[in-house]
Parts: sequence; C-alpha cells; structure tokens
Amino acid sequence: MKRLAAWLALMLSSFGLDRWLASQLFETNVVASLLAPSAATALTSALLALTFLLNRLALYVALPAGAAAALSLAAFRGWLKPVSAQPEARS
Amino acid sequence: MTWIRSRWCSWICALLCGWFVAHNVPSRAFRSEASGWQAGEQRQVELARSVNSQLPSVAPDKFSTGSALFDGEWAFGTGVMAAIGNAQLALQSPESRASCVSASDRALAHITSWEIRGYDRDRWGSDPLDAEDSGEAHLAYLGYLNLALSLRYALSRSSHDALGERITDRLAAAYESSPGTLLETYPGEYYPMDNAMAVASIALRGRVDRARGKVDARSAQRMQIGKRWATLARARYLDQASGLLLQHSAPQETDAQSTGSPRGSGSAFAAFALNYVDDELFAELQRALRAQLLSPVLGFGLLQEFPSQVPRSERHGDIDSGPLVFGYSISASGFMVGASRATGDDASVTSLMAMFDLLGGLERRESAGGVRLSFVSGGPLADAIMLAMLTAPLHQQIDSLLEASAKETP
Repeated sequence: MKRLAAWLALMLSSFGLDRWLASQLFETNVVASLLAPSAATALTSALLALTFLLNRLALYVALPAGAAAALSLAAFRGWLKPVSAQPEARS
Repeated sequence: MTWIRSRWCSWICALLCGWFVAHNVPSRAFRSEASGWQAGEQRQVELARSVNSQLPSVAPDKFSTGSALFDGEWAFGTGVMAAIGNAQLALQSPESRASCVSASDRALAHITSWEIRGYDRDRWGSDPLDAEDSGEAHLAYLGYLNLALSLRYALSRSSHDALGERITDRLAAAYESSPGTLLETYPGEYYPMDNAMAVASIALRGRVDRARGKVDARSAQRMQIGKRWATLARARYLDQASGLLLQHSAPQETDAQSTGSPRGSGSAFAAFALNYVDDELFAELQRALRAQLLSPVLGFGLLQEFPSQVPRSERHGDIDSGPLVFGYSISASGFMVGASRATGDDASVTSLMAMFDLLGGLERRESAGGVRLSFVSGGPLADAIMLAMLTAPLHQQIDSLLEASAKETP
C-alpha cells in the first residue's frame, strides 16, 4: 500500500507540475527566449522548456511503465511466496 | 522449475511488463487523441485562433536566435505559415472561410511590411518588393510569400492580386532563363527546397486561372514551369540512393546529379509545396521520407534528419533541422505531417501528431473568441508551421477545391 501511495503521489505531483508549466508557457515564445542575450532569461527559458519536456516524458511514458513494472514485480513476489512456503507446510 | 522462483526471473518479467506498457499504452492513448486532427477541421480552426491572436506581436526583435538573419526569417516564417495555413483552411472549410480569408489577409499585410522583409533586404542589399526587377531572385522571401499570395488568389479577388501577379511574372521569367532551374535564396546560395516553394507558387496561380476557366498561354506556361522544374529536379537535385532532395546545391546545367547531403527537413518541406505542382515527384518524396527516415520511437512518429547512408560524422543539425536528438529532427517531423496529410497517409499523420501532442504540449484554452489550441513548447512559429501542415489539402482534391472556390469568386 505504501508503494502504491508513493506511485500515486509521484504521478499526481508530476501532473500538477505539467499543468502549472503548461499554463506558464501557453502562447509564450519560449523557444525564442532560449538564446536570449540576457543569460538569466535564456537560462530560465531553457529550464522551463526542459523541465516541461522531461516531466511530460516522465508523466506519460516513464511513470506508467515504472508503475506497471512495480505492480508486476509485487504480483510475482506475492505469487512466489506461497509457492516457496509449500515444502515447509508439508514437513 | 526452480529458476522460475528465482529473484532475477521476477525482475525480468517486471521489466518486460514495464517495456510492454511503455511501448504500447502511451502511444495508443496519444494516437487515439491525435486522430481528432483528421476528423473534420474543428481542431485546425482552434489552432488558427491561437496563431492569429499571436501574429500581431511577432517581430524580428521578439526572437533571439543570436543571428539577426534567423530572427528575421523566423518572424517572416511565422507570418507566411499563418497566411498559408489560413488560406488552406478557407479552401477546405466553407464554415470558417470568411474568417480565415480575413486572417490570411491580415497575415499577408503583416509579412509584406517593411520591418518583416528587412532580413532579406539586409542580405541582398536591395528590397525584395522593389517595383523594378533587378534580376535578383530573393527566393528566401519571394518564394514563400508568393505561395501564400497564390493560395489567397485561389480564394477570391483581393488587393494582394497585383503583387502576386508581379512576383509570379518575375519568378516565371527567372526560371525560363535559368538553365540550372535553381534560383538564389541569398546571393550565391541555392536551396532546392526554397525553389520548390517558388515553383509551387507559380504553378498554383496557373491552376487557379485554369479552374476559373481562363485557359490561356500564360496559365499553361505557369503550370509548365512547375512540371519542367519537377522533371529536372528529379534528375539533378534528388539523391538517387535515398530518393530524398539535396538540402543545398549548385545549379546543374546538365542532367548530371549534384553532390550534397539529402535531408529530411528539406525533402518534407519541398514535398508539402510540390503537392501543388507535380504528382510524381511529390509522391516519390513522400515514399522516400517514409521508407528512409520515418522511425517511430515507442510508437510515436519521428523522422531522422539524415538517411543511413550519410556518415555519422556529417550529420549535424542546423537552423533548418533544429537540434538533432539521436539524429531525430523536430522540423522534419513537423513538415512530414503536411506531406503525409497530402498523400492521405493517415497512419503517419496520427503517429506524428501523437508525438507533437506529447512533446509539443498541446493545450486548449477557452477565450472570448472561442477555444484556442497551442503547442506550448513551440511558440508562435511552431503553431503557425503546424497550422500550415495540418491544413495541407489532399493531393487528389486540389483541382476540385480550386474549382469549388472559383465558383464562389465573383
């Protein structure tokens, strides 16, 4: 349950970050600011854009795949436990 | 069977499950969503609202590429793609025709302004819209502007017609007297892709006249220029191994093939333009792009910029391709949407748009003028390019669309 809650929290926070960044970037010219003469503007834009892209990859690809892997691992372990406990039960 | 109880076996099975989900679930969900781009024109209308609302604030000083030339090109590119996208949408969507025609007019007024055409003037040392024909091609500006003007001409008569006629005559005369069939983008620089835009603008104007029943020597000559260019380009500027267009080349006066790198961005953009010119070259390019460069990742459509025959040491990104990540090009992938849509390759459009919805961050907002869609990580230039690509008409329907439009033209 703890792990499930951790996955859910991770996905919800990633979703929240995605919505916040999308609202910040909507109809802005973030690409144009990447090479801005002001280093602070360029860095902020690059960080925003990169965080947005990486977070979307995490939210929509990596996290579902990771959750599926974690769930299947838990299911396998749950299935293996009774199998390995059987010989002890017989003795 | 003790191996099945081992710890590493559980891990392998879990990783396989994770890989299966990564490979199938996200792309299926995004492809299902992206198929909405092909169900009518509603989404395109919503994207056009965003493009049109952003356009007035687009100017060279709003871009910071580090090069004044590229800043100017991007500002012009945003406007010209907006004009082309709106005109193509008006051609195909009777319900939004009036608003798209007026949006196309506003975009044309924007891109013919003194400020927006400054990048080309600075490079050539003369204004591209000078009334006197100096013999300079100015293709970086005139080739693209004239395609937008020819599309606007296809919709109805307008105040832009005289300018379109003048540029078409000027470009047609230049092609007639060019043995290499390549005009200069900038002094000493020749790009087949920019030439494809220019010949498409000439040929399309001829087709519009024919659709209006004006079958004279001039409209026939304009269509012929397009066909001739396509024939010669196939022999001279198409890479025989990959079937892709060379990105840049010196003009060839014989049918000996030019040397140079075949590229995805140039080939896909040229295919989008040649949709208005030639059946064979257009279809050949689309087939080559699909076979050589379309290489989906986890079910999301993406295009490589270079075919495999180009040595890795020579595969460098530039302003045309955008930054390459593992050889994949966002520009080539975007232009491929237009080429695929024009051939009716729905599967490619859907998988490419699934990728753009994911990485472009397609967002929907309610506004006073109606729902607006925007690719938030791309800015106004990406929105405008995607609008032009997502409104590319089906190749087989162009004549019937032009005829239908001609009937509405007073």
